[in-house]
Amino acid sequence: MSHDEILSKVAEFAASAYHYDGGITVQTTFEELGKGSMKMIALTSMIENELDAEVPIREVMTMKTVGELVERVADEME
Amino acid sequence: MQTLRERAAWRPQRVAFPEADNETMMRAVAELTSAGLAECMLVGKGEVLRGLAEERGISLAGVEVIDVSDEEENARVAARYLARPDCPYKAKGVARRMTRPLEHALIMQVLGDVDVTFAGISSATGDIILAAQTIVGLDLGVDVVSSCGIADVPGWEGGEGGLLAFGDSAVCVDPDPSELASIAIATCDTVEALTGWEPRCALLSHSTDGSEESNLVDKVRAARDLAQGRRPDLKIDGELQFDAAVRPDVAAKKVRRASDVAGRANIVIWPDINVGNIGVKIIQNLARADAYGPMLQGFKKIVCDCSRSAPVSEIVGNVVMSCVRAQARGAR
Repeated sequence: MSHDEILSKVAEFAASAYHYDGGITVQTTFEELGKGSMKMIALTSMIENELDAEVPIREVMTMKTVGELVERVADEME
Repeated sequence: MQTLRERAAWRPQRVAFPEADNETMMRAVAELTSAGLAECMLVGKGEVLRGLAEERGISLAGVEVIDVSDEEENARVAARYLARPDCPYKAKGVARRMTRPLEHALIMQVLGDVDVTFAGISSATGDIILAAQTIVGLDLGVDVVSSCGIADVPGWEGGEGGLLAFGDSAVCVDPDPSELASIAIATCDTVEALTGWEPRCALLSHSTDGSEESNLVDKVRAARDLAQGRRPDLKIDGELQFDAAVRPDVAAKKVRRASDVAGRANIVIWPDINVGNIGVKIIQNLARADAYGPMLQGFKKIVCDCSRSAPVSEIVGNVVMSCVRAQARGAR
């Protein structure tokens, strides 16, 4: 899966998990998406279920942008 | 604690220990089992656990060993979990988790095979909270995991016979109004389950009933409205200063309306972790109070996190408290 395809998927999952209507790019921050660990849990579950890439939530909690998560998912899928 | 031990022994709860390879934890399990305080389950690699017990001279008589390397049993448990509508993972994700003791224990808890999951001696609090939040989930009306504790203040007659419960001094750093309401609700439920008290819960502030105006006061008032709306069965009131919360004479002067809580609160809710941490330290150091806890709360089931330096006696005490909470939850 290409980097852009991963971004597209992660953006789709993030929009669903965070109920976020705006456009999501690599620069979008988790702060912009909104607060709530349950939302982050939902996002990582979707990534694991659909992309078979397990990224621990604790790692995601240290990330600032969606781009960092996309990089990490790409690493996991290699 | 003796009363709590008697209550725990009256109807022993099933407690899963996913850090069963730890020697302190294993010794606590042996003591809990021999005293009839809990039905203990060690969750881990069966052969390794039995070997460690033998090396350490610890009897596992009466202790169930849940072997996470037993593929057939894992498949059976996984199938039951996957059949549940609240299972957040697909088969591959569940299979992965069946081999990990903490997540395996939590899945058994969701399935009703376990009443309490007890960890913390070798796992970080954050890892336990996240795993439990993901698998067990949050209780109704609660949107954040928090903690509570109970202080025993010598020579003080307020609260509930000199005891005062408090939340949250340990987990939520700067709760928003909704989270603060969650802390109040969860603390009431925890304290009622553990002690049988009728909760009288004060949301603390630097203001009493509008004596000051600030965004800090607004937050506490908003939390009070949310908590009262979510759980009208509970006695939760605010905003109150500490003295107006616990002293009837001060409440009589400052609170000019009917209140079930003002002046006789047995639970106080700190507005943030700064106040909570400092408040508990002041009570401990200036009033020579013993503070018990923190107990994790807010999950659909009882998940307990102990200190990494907890000795056997502290683990036994924490398990007993968790079992009493689980009994009350089962009855509810």
